[in-house]
Amino acid sequence: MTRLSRSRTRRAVALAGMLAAVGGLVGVRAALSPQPVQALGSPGLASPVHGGGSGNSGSGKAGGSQHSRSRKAGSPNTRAAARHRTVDGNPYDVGYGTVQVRVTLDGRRITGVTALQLPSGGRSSDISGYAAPRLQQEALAAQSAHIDAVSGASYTSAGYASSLQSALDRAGV
Amino acid sequence: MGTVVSLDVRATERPEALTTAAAAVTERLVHIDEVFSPWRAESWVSRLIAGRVAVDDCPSEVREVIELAVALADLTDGYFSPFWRRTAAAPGPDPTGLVKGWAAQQASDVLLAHGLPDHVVNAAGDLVVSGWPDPQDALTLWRVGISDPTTSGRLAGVVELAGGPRRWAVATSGVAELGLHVVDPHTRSLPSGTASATVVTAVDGSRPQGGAFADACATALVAAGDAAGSLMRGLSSRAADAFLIASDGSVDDPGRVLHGVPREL
Repeated sequence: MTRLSRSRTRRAVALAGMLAAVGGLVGVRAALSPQPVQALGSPGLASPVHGGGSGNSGSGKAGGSQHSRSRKAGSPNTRAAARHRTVDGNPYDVGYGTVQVRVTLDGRRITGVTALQLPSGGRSSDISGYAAPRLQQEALAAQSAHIDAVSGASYTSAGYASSLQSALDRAGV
Repeated sequence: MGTVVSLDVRATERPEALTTAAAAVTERLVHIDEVFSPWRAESWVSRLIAGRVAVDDCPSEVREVIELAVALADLTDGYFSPFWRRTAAAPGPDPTGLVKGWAAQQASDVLLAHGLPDHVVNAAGDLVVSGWPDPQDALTLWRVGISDPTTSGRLAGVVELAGGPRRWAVATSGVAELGLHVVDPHTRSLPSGTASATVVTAVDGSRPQGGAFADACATALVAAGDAAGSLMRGLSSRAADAFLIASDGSVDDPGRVLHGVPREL
């Protein structure tokens, strides 16, 4: 279903410090159909680890940095619509470990988000273990035509969000 | 570690307004983080908690949030309390238990100021919902999924909210936040029994800080342990609907808020 008369914008602002953090990070990525726009906030606690991330279906680019990207309106998505792909986000160093996620997609539709790397040990592993399913659930539920948003108690990781965003950038969704 | 705030804007025109608005929201949230984060040693809130500054020394927005926190402690029989961790090392007030919901509404305020009235702001589970989910169909309801706290990856149900010029705040607090601000202030120990509590309230003239209100009440309900049921029923007389999900998965929902009961004023 095309939505030329209605555009939805989803932005994720990773804001460290509201629940638990040792610093601050704000990253904003705007995905605006049909033309994505990227606005970067200030970098901070979660820093990209160079050399990570990959995509396997010819979309996006390998490597660490985030650049603004533009996509021409009307790019041919129909052929990609049924294509299953796996896209890895950049690994991010969150001080007590590394976070990296993997996204699976059918065309433009996110079908799964899994953590390739999470910090482990001590309390941080409890939090990381809890955060991953919550963000995954939100990523999946938000795509459903029947759910607008998810409310649930959660910790979220700036590194997780950043890695997820880099994967979505790479996947071109 | 951090809180992810996501914006979902339903716009029918002017895509460039979205970029401007997102930048403004980012700026506002960065500022809130710098001022209110208890994890930044030099934030106003950190210094306030530590007793290094007094409330009167703080910027007006900090004073307003502290006043809100004190009022909500009274409203929740002290189960939400800015003095939940009062110790010799931390004698000052700590509003952290409501700042997430307050910040979600602040972000929504920015979107309204930029002419974007149809949106959801989601601050890691504390939401402000505004306007119509489908600007072309006024009857479409907002559908907010509620996480099942006992089973990761699943929803316990859906809260349906009518679209319209009003805003709604939905806040869920749970055992995941234990240790940071969900401690029973009366006993100073971890509560048991309630896995998550969700509060739904309107944001309007009679409740202008609905975001903070919902967050504080949800926090209070989880902290209340065995007293949560009666606290919840007391809140319903103040136009805040709530339900509890216990650690065994059972739902206490006297207002029939969950599972798709439309919420109308």
